[in-house]
Amino acid sequence: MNCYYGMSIVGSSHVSRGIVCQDSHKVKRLMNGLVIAAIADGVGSSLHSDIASAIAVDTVVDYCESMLLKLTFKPSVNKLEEIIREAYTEAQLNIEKESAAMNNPITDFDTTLSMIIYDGKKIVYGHCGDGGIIGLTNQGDYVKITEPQKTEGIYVIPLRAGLDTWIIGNSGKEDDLCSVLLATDGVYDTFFPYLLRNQEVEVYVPLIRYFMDNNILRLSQANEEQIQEDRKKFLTSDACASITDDKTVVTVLNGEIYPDIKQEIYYAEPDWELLQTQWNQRAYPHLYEKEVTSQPNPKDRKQYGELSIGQDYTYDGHNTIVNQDNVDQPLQKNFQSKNKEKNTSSRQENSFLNNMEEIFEASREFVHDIINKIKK
Amino acid sequence: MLSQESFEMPRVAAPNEPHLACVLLLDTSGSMHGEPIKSLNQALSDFKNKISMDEMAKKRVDVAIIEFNDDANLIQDFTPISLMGTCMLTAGGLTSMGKGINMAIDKVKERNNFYASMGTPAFKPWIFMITDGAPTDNIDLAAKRIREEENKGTYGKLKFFALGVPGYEKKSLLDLTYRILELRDTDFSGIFNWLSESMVSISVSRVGDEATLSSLPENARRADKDVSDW
Repeated sequence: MNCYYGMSIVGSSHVSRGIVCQDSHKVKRLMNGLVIAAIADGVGSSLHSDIASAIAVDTVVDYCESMLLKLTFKPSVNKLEEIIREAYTEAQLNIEKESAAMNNPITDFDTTLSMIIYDGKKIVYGHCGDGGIIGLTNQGDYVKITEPQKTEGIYVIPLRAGLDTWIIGNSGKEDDLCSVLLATDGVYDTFFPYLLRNQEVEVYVPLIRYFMDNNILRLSQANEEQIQEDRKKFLTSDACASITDDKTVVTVLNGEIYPDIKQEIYYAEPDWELLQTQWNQRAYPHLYEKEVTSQPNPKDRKQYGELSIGQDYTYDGHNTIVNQDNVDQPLQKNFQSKNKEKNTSSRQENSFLNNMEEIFEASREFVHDIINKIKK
Repeated sequence: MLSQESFEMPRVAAPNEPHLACVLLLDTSGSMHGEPIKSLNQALSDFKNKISMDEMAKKRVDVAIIEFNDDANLIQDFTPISLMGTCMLTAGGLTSMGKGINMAIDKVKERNNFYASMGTPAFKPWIFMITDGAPTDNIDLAAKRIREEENKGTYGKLKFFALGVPGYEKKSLLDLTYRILELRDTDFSGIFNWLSESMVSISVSRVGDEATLSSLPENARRADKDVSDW
């Protein structure tokens, strides 16, 4: 029995600027148990992207539903992919019609669009843009089904980019998926924080589990609304304050399957402090390259790891001296006293050299006088 | 199966901050001697303190400082704004602006590559140059590189600003950029206030979006028109 919940929540950055929620989502469960779900994220810089995202999800879900209802045979994966491709084309056409009707340029109607058709085991999907689709296998592994589409790693590729950029595919013959989640970028990026990049598990498991794992959700058709409200409450709570963008999440799962529970460590909170320190060490090597001679302030250590704050910014070329004053008092004092010692020592060396030069100069003059006297 | 009761509510504890790189490119040639350099040092300190007051911006803004005089020198490599050192810049020598710009572009490109290699989302970096004179070296290559970086890719890979302090040569700056600001005097406090507000405004926006810059201080103006389309 396939169940689902989903929500689109306006982001705090939009609320503060008086912008409406530009995300949309739509889910339909057909009589035969198939679930069709779609999410869309209206591109922030496009004036009517909220309209475009709504048209996109409405069109693809309704189109797929109508095509599936017409079929008198069980569709093949290829057939489902063909239907999704047609649905995407239809969505773009409907957006273009709206753009013409409103007499606004099509660039004002940019949106992303991701969708699935789920049968309780497998998905056939369509994807474009910087949101994404994530699966949970019956064995309990989280798998990234799609990759965010961005040019230069920043700029979203919208639906308008056309057929060549749309990714239409399926989850393959291998592991069955007991749960599938679709999310727009605000939430999706939170599930894949860059500090986990190149780690053994790149998804933020303890967080995404709350949205996908039926061992925790215990989702059934009877409690879909309750589970949806709980997740909505969480996404609008202070715990998610760092996600300032619009937030859309749709989860579709097979209510009869509970994924295998893996070893506890798989669900443990990653050591963010360590990961951040590793990132910082690569980002600011000059703050780490010298031996730490003083005890850094715990606050700084927590944020940046073991730092050699204040030791690297002394540049004495061209009479420029840079001091460090951002650290708290004990460290500051230590740094100042260290520099003071260094400066004192340097001054002593200079004074010694000056004396030597004077002695040498005097000796030279003395020797010169003697030579002159001998010559005379 | 786990019971709901045994599962704690999750946290969103991942520090997933995008980054904004800013190079302050400062003319410390002889003509900046005296009050100008003193005011600049003070403004740099205020700049750090102001941005650091914003909890989000202070995690996102990375600042590097380069000076140019007889040569170009990296005073401070990219550092989180809250750990930025207090500068005690002194003035003297010539105005090797070309060398300074080339060094700044190299640093920005290196930083962009680093962010990309780590999968770290990044805002378009800024180079903010302050000068009160005319270049004493050749700036042709620097000008070409600014144009290339600003036009690279879909929306450019750099924003280069030049702030002219009384005595600056407008013609040279026009060869470099259209984003020229002029100061009426050598009080840098207002313009650094504007710069810190701009850094905050960008760093709290969404990567890829154009953030709105605030109004210029009374003693500054855009050399040609309003700053709204920068």
